[in-house]
Parts: sequence; C-alpha cells; structure tokens
Amino acid sequence: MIFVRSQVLSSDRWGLAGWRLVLDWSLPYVPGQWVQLRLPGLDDPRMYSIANPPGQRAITILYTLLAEGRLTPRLSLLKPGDIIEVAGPGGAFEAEKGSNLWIAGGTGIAPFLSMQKLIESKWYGPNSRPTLLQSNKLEDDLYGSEIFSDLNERNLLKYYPFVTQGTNSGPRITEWLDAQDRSFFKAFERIMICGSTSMILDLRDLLLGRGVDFHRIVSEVYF
Amino acid sequence: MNDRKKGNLYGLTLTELRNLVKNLGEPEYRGNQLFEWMYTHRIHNLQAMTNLGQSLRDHLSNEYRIQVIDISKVDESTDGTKKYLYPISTATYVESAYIPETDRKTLCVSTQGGCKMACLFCMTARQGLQTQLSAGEILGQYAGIPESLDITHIVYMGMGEPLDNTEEVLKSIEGFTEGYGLSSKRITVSTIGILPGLSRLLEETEVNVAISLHSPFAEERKRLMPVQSVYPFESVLELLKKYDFSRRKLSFEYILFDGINDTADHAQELVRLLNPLRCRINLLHFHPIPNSPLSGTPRKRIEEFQAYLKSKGLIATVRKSRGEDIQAACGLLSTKELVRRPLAETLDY
Repeated sequence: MIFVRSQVLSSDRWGLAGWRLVLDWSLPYVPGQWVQLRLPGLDDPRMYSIANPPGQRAITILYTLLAEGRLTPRLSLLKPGDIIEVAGPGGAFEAEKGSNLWIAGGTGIAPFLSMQKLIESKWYGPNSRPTLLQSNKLEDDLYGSEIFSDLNERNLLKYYPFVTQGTNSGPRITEWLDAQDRSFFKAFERIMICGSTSMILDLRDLLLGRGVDFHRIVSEVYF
Repeated sequence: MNDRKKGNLYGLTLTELRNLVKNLGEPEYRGNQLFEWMYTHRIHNLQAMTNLGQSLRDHLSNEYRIQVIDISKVDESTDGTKKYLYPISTATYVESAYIPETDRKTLCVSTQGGCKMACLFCMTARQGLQTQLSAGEILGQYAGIPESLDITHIVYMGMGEPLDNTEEVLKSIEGFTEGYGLSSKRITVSTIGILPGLSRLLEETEVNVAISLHSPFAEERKRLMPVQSVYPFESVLELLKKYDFSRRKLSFEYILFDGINDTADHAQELVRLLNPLRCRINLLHFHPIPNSPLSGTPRKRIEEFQAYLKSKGLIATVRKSRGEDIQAACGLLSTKELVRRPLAETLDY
C-alpha cells in the first residue's frame, strides 16, 4: 500500500478507555472501510476502521490505548499539526440495503459510525431502518451513543445499548439475543457484526443455533 | 541460574545470534558458529560446541539454554500420519502433523495457538487467538520429533494464520532454509490472504504460496471467511499477478461444501479468475466439525468438479484426506484440549 502524509487535526479522549484521532483526509472512501496508520520512522502499520461518514475532508480514528502496544501509546501523544502516515482506504465491510441487524462490541462500533449519513439520508427506507446493538464494558465507552440515540428518536434507527460492567450493567447482548423469538431473527436479511473474535464466534454460534442461515451473517474481526 | 529462567537461543536467526555474541564482546563470526551447531549439526548442548572458546561456552551456558518445545502427546493413524500435540502454556496447545507418503515426508506446522480469523469452517477458529508462536516454537515442531531427519517438505498449514504472525514465520523460514538446509522449493506457506504479510513473504522469501480461497464470489467468501471484508480476494489476486510463479509454486486451496460452493457457477468463476495465473487448485474434502452449518461435498461430485476445472485448462488436484482416525485436520485435537475461555468480566459484549 502507498502511504501518504496526513496532518493531525485533533486528538482527544473519547469516553474512559477510548481515544479519537482526527486526520486531514481528502480521498474518497465508502462507509465501513479502513485505513492503515504508521508513524514516520516506524514500520509495522496498524489498521483502523474509519469512524466518521465520508464528505468531511477528515477521517476519525477510534482506538483504545494498549499500554504494551507499539503504536497506540505513540498515537495518544500526537498533537494538532503533527504528521502521521496513512494508507488506504481498503476493505469491503460495506452497508447493504434491506433489513439489517448491526452488532458492535467496543471499538467495533467504528464502521457503523461511518454509516450514520446513510441512515440520515433515509437510504434504508422507512420499512427497513437498521437495528443497532452496541456493547461495551462501561456506559461512558458507548462511543457515539448520543448520535445513535438521536437517530433512534427520529425513527431512523432502532438502537439498543448494552453495558457489561458498572452500575448500569444489564443483560449482555448474547443474553438479550437469546431471549428473542425466532421472528426477531427472521426479520433481518443481513446481520453485520464487528468486534473481537470471541464476540464474533459467540454471536455466530448463537445465531446459527437460532436458525439464522450463515449467508446472512457478515463479520469483521479486529486487526 | 535456574534453567527455565535462562534465555532460549533456539529459534534465533543468524543475524540475531551475531548481534548477541557481538554484545558479549565476541567477534560476530562466533554467531555463525553457534548457528551452525544449533541447526546444521543439531547440537543443543552449549558445552559441546567445541570451536567456541571455553569462556564463551561458560558464559552462554550460564545465561542461555537451547530448548526445543516439548511434545505432550502423539497419535498415530492407520495410514502412518502422526499428530503431535505441544503445550505452549498451561492451557494452550498447538499441533503438528507428520504425513509420510512414498515419495515425500511432509510436516504440517502451526504458527499460532488458536486463530483470530474466525473462518466459518475452521475448528482452530473456535479457540480464538490464544498466543503467537515464536520462530523457535515453529522450528521446534520440526526439530523435536523423531522423524525430523526424514522430513522432505514443510507446509505452514497447521493451526493459525501464518501471516498474522509474519515476523516469526519469516524467521522460521530462515531457520528451515539457512539452518536446517531445506530448500525453499519444499516449503509452502498457506494463508487466507493477509496482504501486508503476503507482500513481505513474496518479497523476502522464495517459498511456495498457497491461498485459501473457498469461494470465487466475494459476498459468499465474506460469509465463509471474515477476512474478505478486510482484504478482498480481488486485492490478493492483484498482488499475486505482479509476481513470477515459474520458480515457486502458487496454489489455491478450495474446500468443497455440499450445495454451497460446488456448483457449475463456482467452477466457471474459478476458471475465469485463476486461468490467467500460473497456478494449481487443490480441492479438499471437508473434515466435518461439530455444530457447523456446512457439510462436505460427496466424493463423486468433487471429482466432477475437478474434471470440469481440468477440462478448462486448470491444474486441479483432489487432496487425499490423511489421518482422519486421529483427527489430523488442524485444530481438532488442540481444541479438545483447550481449557481456557475468556473470563466474563473481561468481555465487552
């Protein structure tokens, strides 16, 4: 891949565990695609889903800081005006029309954040607004929940947040899905899952066990 | 020093060994000697490396060991295939398979404990990624078994995605070729198509490459192999077309799933995609795994599929299943042994 230099526009905390890096960017991309980030002088790039809709002349990268990681501790030190190398976009975790169930864990919400304009543009139509299940350990780390809650209130999205720890923790996504009847699963032509491998494996097993055809399940693992 | 606390030299590359001895104040060629003892002569006792000075031998013996991974279990099939199981930690196991045939003896090695790629048809995927193997742990699967000296071919087709652990895989390839003297032509790395790693493999080695394809249609492949959402096969194909495969082999692995990817449309699309390349396609029978929505295409239809591909000019082979009675397909044995599951409190879902 060809890396180009991009300027940091902003860098700040997002919730308790997340970080948000905004980079100057003019190349077109499709919601759901990724870019690779590399710091000058360091090889070994890392891949991140773009977490904002196209058309803003900037891309937002959502990440959590891994203390032992090679890149994220350095990313968190970046300041506006700093330069980072970016390659892409790439990937094909793309939105499709029809009735969609989207499931995101942790920073796996990023591709769905990039789809918000599609939802707002009523691309999905009144009878097939997507259903989004978003989960994280803590409520403060439900990245973009205010955007999704707003879309929910405007009847453009059905939004269900889940929290596994803290005072507001409730049923897990797996428990919630397990409690649904078969008609819930039949309603969706396509189920998109983005998150950790263990989440994808657990959810895929659950969905297959509830009679969902594997052709309807598309997933993306963290890289 | 307690032997377990000593650094392990096994798996280090020539460059790493040269740097190590240099940092000890020794000339760099001592690293070459160490490399030759360890790999070419298969000597793992530092005191037996007689062309190293006594003081260097003593120093190395005090600080380092040469330890090949232990075998915890071996199963032998009626067809001669042997499956080795190695504990990597208290709860993670990896496997290798020794596959003897009349004209070759192949060892199938693992590169990761578990795998994070979540392919729908793969038993190893059910473990998630447990651990990355070091070059030494990959090479040790070869050096530590009694058949080691008979092995003619190495295939990286065991547990894990090799190119999700590229650095250690490249080091291990160097160990096999420069250390143990195996020809690159007899080494095959199988990958689902992780582009950055594939690019390095093609640039930095001369080994054969096998790409797990399993569907020529992007949307279907996405359902079978989540990697398709990240690195679409068309991008993999674009990269492969830039390389010359007259001196190294390129193959595509294709497991046939009954009623899923074994239709005439699939065969025609495979011909269209692969005919421009100098390659072969290996058709594989599916080893059933528990609770899978997939089942294997019957043998007769696999042969018909193969016949069609051949009639259109593709080199298509049907790979013989080996060691089915000992669950020699990758991941079957170690997944049974795996005891660790993520703790509920660590999960974000």
